[in-house]
Amino acid sequence: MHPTESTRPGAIPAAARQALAYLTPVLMGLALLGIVGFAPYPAVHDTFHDVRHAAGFPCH
Amino acid sequence: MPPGSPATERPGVSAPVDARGLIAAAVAAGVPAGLLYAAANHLLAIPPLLQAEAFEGAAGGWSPARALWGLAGSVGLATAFSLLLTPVVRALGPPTAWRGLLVGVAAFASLLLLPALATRPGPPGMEADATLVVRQGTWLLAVLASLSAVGLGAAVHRLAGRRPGARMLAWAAGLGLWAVFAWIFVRTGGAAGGPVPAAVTTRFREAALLSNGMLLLGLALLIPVTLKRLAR
Repeated sequence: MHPTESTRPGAIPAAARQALAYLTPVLMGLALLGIVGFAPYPAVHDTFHDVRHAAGFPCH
Repeated sequence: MPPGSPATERPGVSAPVDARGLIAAAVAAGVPAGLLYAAANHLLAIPPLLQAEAFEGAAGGWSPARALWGLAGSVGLATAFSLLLTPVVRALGPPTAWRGLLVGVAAFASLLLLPALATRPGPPGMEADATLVVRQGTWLLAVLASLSAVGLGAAVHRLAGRRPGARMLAWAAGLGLWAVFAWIFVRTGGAAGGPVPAAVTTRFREAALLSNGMLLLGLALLIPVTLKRLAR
């Protein structure tokens, strides 16, 4: 029997691959949300100041 | 029709999902929604914001650079929301307009409305009733509270199965818990003062509510479309 992708030694189980597929964009979204909405650095705050107020993020 | 296509998928039986497709779909929806959000903010929320800054005595005012950063922030925020919501829409099953709207409503309630009731945001110049860290923590708590209400509704829907009235029961459970949290946050929140007249603050809040609603509506409508075109 030829090994398939899922039976190859060291292969990530299909369920874990699927979970990772869903999780990857979520983690990217959280990181971007953190930067736009919450990053405390003055330069970042000043850049996204107006959007933070408009979106209701606690700003200063 | 290829096997595992979303078009032939049955609820509960999912075709394999590709992270790159989800990200592409999210960005493809987030960028135009962000442009719409930037335009809505420019027309609705920025004028009272600038007015409030004048009362605060802050230097600044409108400038092309400021408008450009506002555009970047709007597109960035819309894309962030889209990256969070696109996997959720896809996880519910074949992407449909109804599923997009359902997720959009839940996102509006969780990411914008309940946190606003909890933290009472406003234009610049409002005196805060707590430190920034406390208000950010309150914002996060409100998001988690709203998501738990959404989760309760989803759990009731799943447990009730195909029984008559199952959908209504799920909505009642979720909305009921959400309303309890809203009542708690409104009752325990403090009042903020400052030099900005109440009329300007109210105008800003109404404008922000409208532009935020347009953002989530845009994402709710676009995400199912971009998922069908770009993601398995």
